[in-house]
Amino acid sequence: MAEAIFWVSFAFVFYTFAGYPLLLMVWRRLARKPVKRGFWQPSVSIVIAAHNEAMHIETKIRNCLELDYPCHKLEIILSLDGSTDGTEEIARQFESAMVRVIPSLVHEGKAAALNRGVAAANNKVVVFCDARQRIHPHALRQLITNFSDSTVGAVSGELILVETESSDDDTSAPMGLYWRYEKWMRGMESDIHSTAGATGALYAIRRELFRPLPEDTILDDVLVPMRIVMERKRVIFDPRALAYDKVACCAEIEFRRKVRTLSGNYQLLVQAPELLLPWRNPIFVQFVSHKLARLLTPYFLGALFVSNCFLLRGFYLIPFALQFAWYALALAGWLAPERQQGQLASRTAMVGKSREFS
Amino acid sequence: MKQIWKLPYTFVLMNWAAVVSLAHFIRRGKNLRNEIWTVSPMSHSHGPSTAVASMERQGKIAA
Repeated sequence: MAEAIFWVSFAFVFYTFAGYPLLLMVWRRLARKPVKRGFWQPSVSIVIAAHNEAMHIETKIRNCLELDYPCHKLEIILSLDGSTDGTEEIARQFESAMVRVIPSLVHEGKAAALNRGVAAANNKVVVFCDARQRIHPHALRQLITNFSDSTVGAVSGELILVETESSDDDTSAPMGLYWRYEKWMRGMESDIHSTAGATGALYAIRRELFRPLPEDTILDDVLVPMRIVMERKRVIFDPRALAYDKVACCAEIEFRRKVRTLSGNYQLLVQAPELLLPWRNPIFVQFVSHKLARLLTPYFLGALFVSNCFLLRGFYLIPFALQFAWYALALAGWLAPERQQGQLASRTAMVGKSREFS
Repeated sequence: MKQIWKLPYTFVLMNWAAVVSLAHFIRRGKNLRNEIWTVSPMSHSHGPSTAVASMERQGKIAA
């Protein structure tokens, strides 16, 4: 029994982290579908949903105004979500034919703000981005070239995580490694058909493919692209379209982000259960292997270790020693004074944030 | 890497996040909207998470 659990768990964990990427490599080699990029310059609406972004909104608007794209074909829509920190006043200073402010007195959530933003958009292509991250001046042009291919319904840009003075080298190294691994997989999925999600910091869609989001949606950047995939259009990852963000200062902040993202994945299954139907979801294998497997991995990791504890003989001593060392190091990390300092920094940041919004 | 424990620690922490997220989703199913504006490299930034608000209510951190 323990042996069966051990090997099933091992197979699952191996497939999630190594088998699936290997499968993608082979799949891509056999069935790569290049995007027919070309010159196309449609009118574009950039929708920025923002809630209490007084610190970032001016920089963001200036960043959008500096994009390498014809001004007369660009519309910037600031969909504000019940901001109380002066975001609207700052945004109003830039209001013009090109920059529109869609205010909301009530704080209804990001999805509602996006719905309002898209409803106000007049152009064929809608670009979503967040208030905080900076976009490369050529990013928009790069994104749009993909829409020359009529099979492409959405394009995701690439988020580059930049280290700052407050970034902890030893936290950013593993997170940077994870992020590179994640982008490598997205690139392969995109080459085969579509990625299972987009980068919230920068992605573009054909406006006609947008359907209003349920107001409690956590991951608009997964639900919107997945709906487009279900409409039999491709969702492409274009690493030439760059957005920049800062690396989290410590693992605990990254942990909170991860909890939020993974909660969003559970919500996605409730909002769009048809994603689990292989005959409805054109990227069923990618979705299950990339999104769902991550949710189940910790349980299989636990089963792998526990079953190994009942198999302390012969060959099984090797995986036990490796797992034991791995978790002992993790425990040492949890007890390390540096981590405690990081946690303190994270808690201070949380308090700082809560004060900003009080 | 200066500290060898960082990679296993981060790996375990991120997997633990998957467990916590399930509990979080079940417990807070209808209030998830409040979490939407929390900090994320993949999504929007800024906003008090309900976790912070809850800690404040319980007096664990200063309001």
